[in-house]
Amino acid sequence: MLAQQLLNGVVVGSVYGLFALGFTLLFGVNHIMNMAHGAVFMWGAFAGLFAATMLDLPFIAALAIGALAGGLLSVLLDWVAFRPLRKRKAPEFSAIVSSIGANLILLSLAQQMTATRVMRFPFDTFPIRIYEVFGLRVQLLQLVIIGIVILMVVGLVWYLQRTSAGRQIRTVAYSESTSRLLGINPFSVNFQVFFLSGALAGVAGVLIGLVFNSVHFMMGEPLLLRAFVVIILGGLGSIPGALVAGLLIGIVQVLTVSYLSAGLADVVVFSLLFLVLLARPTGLFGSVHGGAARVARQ
Amino acid sequence: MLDVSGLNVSYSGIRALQDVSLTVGQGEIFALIGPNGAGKSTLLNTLSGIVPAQAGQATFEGQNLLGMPAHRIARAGLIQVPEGRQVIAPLTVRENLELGRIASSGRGGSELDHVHDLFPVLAERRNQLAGSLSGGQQQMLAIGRALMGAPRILVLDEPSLGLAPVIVREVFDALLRLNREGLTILLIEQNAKLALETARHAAILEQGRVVMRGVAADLAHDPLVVDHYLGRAEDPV
Ligand SMILES: Nc1ncnc2c1ncn2[C@@H]1O[C@H](COP(=O)(O)OP(=O)(O)O)[C@@H](O)[C@H]1O
Ligand SMILES: [Mg+2]
Repeated sequence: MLAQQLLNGVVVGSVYGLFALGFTLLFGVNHIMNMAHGAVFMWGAFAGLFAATMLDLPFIAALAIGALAGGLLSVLLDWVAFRPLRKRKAPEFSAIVSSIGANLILLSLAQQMTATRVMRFPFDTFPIRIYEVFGLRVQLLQLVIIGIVILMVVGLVWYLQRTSAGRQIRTVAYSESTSRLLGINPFSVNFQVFFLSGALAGVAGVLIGLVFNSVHFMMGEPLLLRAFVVIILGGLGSIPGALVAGLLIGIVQVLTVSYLSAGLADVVVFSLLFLVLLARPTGLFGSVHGGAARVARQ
Repeated sequence: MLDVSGLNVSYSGIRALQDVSLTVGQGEIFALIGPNGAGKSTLLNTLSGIVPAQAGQATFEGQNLLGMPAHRIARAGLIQVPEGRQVIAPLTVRENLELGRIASSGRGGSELDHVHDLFPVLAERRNQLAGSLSGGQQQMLAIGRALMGAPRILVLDEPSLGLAPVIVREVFDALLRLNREGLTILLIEQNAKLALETARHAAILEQGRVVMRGVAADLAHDPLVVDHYLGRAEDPV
């Protein structure tokens, strides 16, 4: 029973990690706290849902459309909510306020469009297949989700580490002004970072929508709150930190729901946050340096 | 090749450069000297597009620099080696050099061999993290990185800062060699003696204004300059 719940926790937690990764990437490179990241996640889930229901597309295509929608929406957010502030060199706090506004707009739009209904993926979106492994009931979907998360993380790290575009992103994270002196185009780097961040959220949205078989306009909000816990636990801007902390939160949440009470999940998660911060004020992977250098180093 | 005239720059109302004019000719080393806080870095950063100008003109090979985005200026061939070197510490030496190639936008060719020939230590340490290099090696890396961009003019902000004299000599010998090979250089220095020995023309900046300009060798013998900038260095011990 415990092992079964641990497995469920790992599945949910790995998707939280994916969501938090996009959030922390944006913070590490651009020093932006995107309060609309949860809305991007939710719209990614809806895009995947529409692809599966209206267009009758298979799972993988729905996932790709969720990623694309999340990525493009995130880029749009940059143009509308963040770039005008950057141009005027507004303080970082203005970006938080403007993304809270964008979040509200995106939530209301989704609420209107869905008439506040909870929507579900069609049964045949993903085949229900269950394997018995050492007495554990493992669903094919769970395996596929873990596989997708691993693939996306490896892909992201490869992109940041091994490609010229990734090196440019890490250079901007390390020093924005030096990057410009080197001829790096800040618009192109911003586009990539916002797109990647949103695509990660979009994929996470489709996966969470499938796992809980529910897609609704508020689904991103608790996740955004948990993403804060994830990145504070993991250390701002830290990629391994986001993943490990995401897994941890997922496991803690699933265990709390199954052994204590569903209502206590957030109580336990936030208590855990305070406990860790008491012991390690900069988070599990944190250091005294800002998050920016962290993305550059990975 | 580089023409600056009547340049005014302020930081939120506080004047940092006032009516600054200078001309750097093709193939020469031009030195700009002046005390700390005179506005030397401000001038370079204005030319590089990092700091906006309030008035004046700056043209580089006929292109108007003011208002051009920083990355386009670098790609046009005006490449800065910034104050404090600013190597990307978490990347390797080789990766830092590869970054420099972005500015070349196709002009480049065999820069890497040239850089390794100029600073062999960068070849030896190619896989080491830039942050683990000594100050002198970081300065060489910063210059090497700029050279990877195939600069039409290399602008350096206090390359001697914080380096041991023997390393300073090595760096300046490299600059002289680059200049002999045809590279135009705009050099900013607090070390006036070194700068005036190295350059053909020079200007002196004080409190945001050019107070003197001319042939470097003449300035080096000007009593005012000797008094203010070279006095100590020329004193018999
Ligand atoms: N980013 C900035 N914001 C406000 N003032 C600045 C900034 N950078 C430089 N200054 C001011 O402008 C003047 C010139 O500085 P700087 O160009 O760095 O001089 P230098 O390089 O000759 O030492 C100084 O008074 C300095 O305090
Ligand atoms: Mg300076």
